[in-house]
Amino acid sequence: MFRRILSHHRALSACAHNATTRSLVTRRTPNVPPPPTFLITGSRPVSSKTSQSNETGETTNKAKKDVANVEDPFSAPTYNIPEKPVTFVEGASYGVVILAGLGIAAAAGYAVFKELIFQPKEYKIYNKALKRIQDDGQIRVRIGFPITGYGQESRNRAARQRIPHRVWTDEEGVEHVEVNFYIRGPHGHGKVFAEMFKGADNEWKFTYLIVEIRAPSTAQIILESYIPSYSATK
Amino acid sequence: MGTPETSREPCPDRILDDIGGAFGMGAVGGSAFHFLKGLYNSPKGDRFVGATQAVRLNAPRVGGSFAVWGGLFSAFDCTMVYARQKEDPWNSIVAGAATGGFLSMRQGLGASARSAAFGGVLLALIEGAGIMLNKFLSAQQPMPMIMDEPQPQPPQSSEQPWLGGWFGGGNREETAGSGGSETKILESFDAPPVPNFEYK
Repeated sequence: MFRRILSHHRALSACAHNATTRSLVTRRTPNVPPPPTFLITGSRPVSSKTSQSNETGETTNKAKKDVANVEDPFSAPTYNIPEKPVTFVEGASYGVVILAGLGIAAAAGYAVFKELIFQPKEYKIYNKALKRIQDDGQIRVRIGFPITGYGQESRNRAARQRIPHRVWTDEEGVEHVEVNFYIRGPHGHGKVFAEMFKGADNEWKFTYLIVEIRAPSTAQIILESYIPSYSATK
Repeated sequence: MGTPETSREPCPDRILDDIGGAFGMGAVGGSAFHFLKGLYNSPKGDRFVGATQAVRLNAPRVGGSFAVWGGLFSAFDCTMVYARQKEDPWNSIVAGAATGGFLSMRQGLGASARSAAFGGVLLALIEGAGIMLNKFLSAQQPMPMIMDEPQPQPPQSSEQPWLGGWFGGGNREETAGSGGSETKILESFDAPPVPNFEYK
């Protein structure tokens, strides 16, 4: 009973508020306001109920989203695995590329090994001839000491380091190497013609070593000339 | 002192030539590299401006580092030529190792040794490739040896044209036979032409 009376009081206060506003606006019909007030009061609890239901729906939606977010990291790697592996052609091409790289590395290593360990023949002959010339007194008297040797008259480093040479084999299978290079000393310069062959004891021997001095004065000096050993009894 | 012939020695003037050449190489190469890099890394509307800015910022630095390397390499190479009194690929290999080691000396002895080894291996690869290329080219077309200078006189013998141009006068002959070891008589070998013994 008290509860019903309290509810009536609330309704009456609402009617009073609405009546005052409508009296200010319209003064004709005082009997019309009561039904819309009842309607308004009737709709409010419905709206409140609907809002409450919406809130509960939102909470359930949030819970669902959280569950989905929690589940996604676990399922991601499973769904992203590709269906089929790479084709055989791709694998073969990769293998070919790897083999090509290894081939290039092997070729470079072989070039380095051959150049470093097994020195080329022309540089062997060049070193022997230059040492023979540097130690000779006739050349020192003419062009001075120290004597420098180089391959070609050029300012290019590679051209100076390259020795013109020719390799040939005679009828008996003996290998001959001919080289040309230039020498220069403090007082003059010249050109050297040298040839060596590999003898029976597997050592290089001079066939000839001719120094053509061009400055300060022209001269020809034969330092080495091969004469085979001769015996009358043979 | 002396004749204009002695001015044909490349060292030490070659050091300055190599510094300039190395700087040019580095500046041009660095410009091309950083231009492409700037084109790739700039946003869509500003590619050309970004590329030119990258070139302007980086090309002189690359050129400078190349010049330092080239100058040091050439200096060490000339030092090796002076010390050994001969020119062969070993000079370049040792100069490359010395340059690498010298430029990394500030970072400690271990890093210096590692850079020296790397420089030596790099120059060895370059020299080896050069020698292999030279052999390939010479084997492809077998031709007589090239003559750098024109002959001052016509050759007197046609057997070996590259031995032509014998001069008269002042000839001294020293024949050292190898008496210690007995070798076969090379019947097919053609001896070089006998020099004339005319005296002026």
